[in-house]
Amino acid sequence: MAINDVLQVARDSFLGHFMRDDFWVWPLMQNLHFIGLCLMFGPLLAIDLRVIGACRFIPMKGALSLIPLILGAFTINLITGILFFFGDPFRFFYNFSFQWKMALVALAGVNALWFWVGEHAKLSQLADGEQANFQAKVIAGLSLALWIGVIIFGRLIPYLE
Amino acid sequence: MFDLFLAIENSALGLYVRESSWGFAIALASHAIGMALSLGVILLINFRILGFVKQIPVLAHTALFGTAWFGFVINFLSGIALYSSHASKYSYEWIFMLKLSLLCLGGIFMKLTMDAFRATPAEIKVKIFSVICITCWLGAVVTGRLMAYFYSV
Repeated sequence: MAINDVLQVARDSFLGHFMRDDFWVWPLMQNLHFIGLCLMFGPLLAIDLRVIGACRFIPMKGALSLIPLILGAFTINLITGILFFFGDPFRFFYNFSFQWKMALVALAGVNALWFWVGEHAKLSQLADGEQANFQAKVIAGLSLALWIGVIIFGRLIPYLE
Repeated sequence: MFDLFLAIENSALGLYVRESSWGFAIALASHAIGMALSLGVILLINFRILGFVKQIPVLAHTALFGTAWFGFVINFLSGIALYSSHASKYSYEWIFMLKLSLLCLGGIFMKLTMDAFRATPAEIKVKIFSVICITCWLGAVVTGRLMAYFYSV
């Protein structure tokens, strides 16, 4: 089965029709995608800026316990994102900006895993105002840069096709 | 007024954002980043005030206000750029007027919420202000996004 056949199946699926058949479904999902992004960025900023040291008086343990909120908000955007893809698979699959966006999401995921495995336990011991180690700061900086890149390439999808 | 809107539209900025290949896209991408920075912080502190996420003390969040303001400035500037590109069109759209009103109200209620929290954190007034604040800011996001769908012809 060639990739175009897979894309055609996605397009003809129930979800594909759900996204296209009623005009207002698409803008509704776009709004949810934007709100999910805003929900995700609050805790992301709290953690990354605390680790980088720009907001070092945010309690580290408290900031880290916001991770489930990030995952929840990401789930909203994963679901709405999958719906967009089913709604117009040929457009997204071959879109340069979408391809970069997905690559950056994957990198941000690997980066988050690196944070979780390598730094999370150490960081929870950090006192208020205490600086994180250099490697943790690099991961936090990468996290912000990658997610901002995701926003940029997401917003540029209509302009890079 | 219409002449003024046309003048804005035909200014160097308006022309650049509208006619160049990348002006409008760059302004839109910047607008999305500014939204993430300011709304991220605003929603987080308001959810904390409402008691949904208790992990960080309310006032510790104020360390993030600089970031929220930075995002606001990005959006103020990119917003002017976007507006200037189609000033004679946007100025007559009810959804754009609604968005601007919600933005102003959102800002006012963020201030009212913080002032009320600092004075009397336990009072119900704080939470009422906070709910109005969240509603206005989310409303501004939604009406902004819907500008692509509602427009006067």
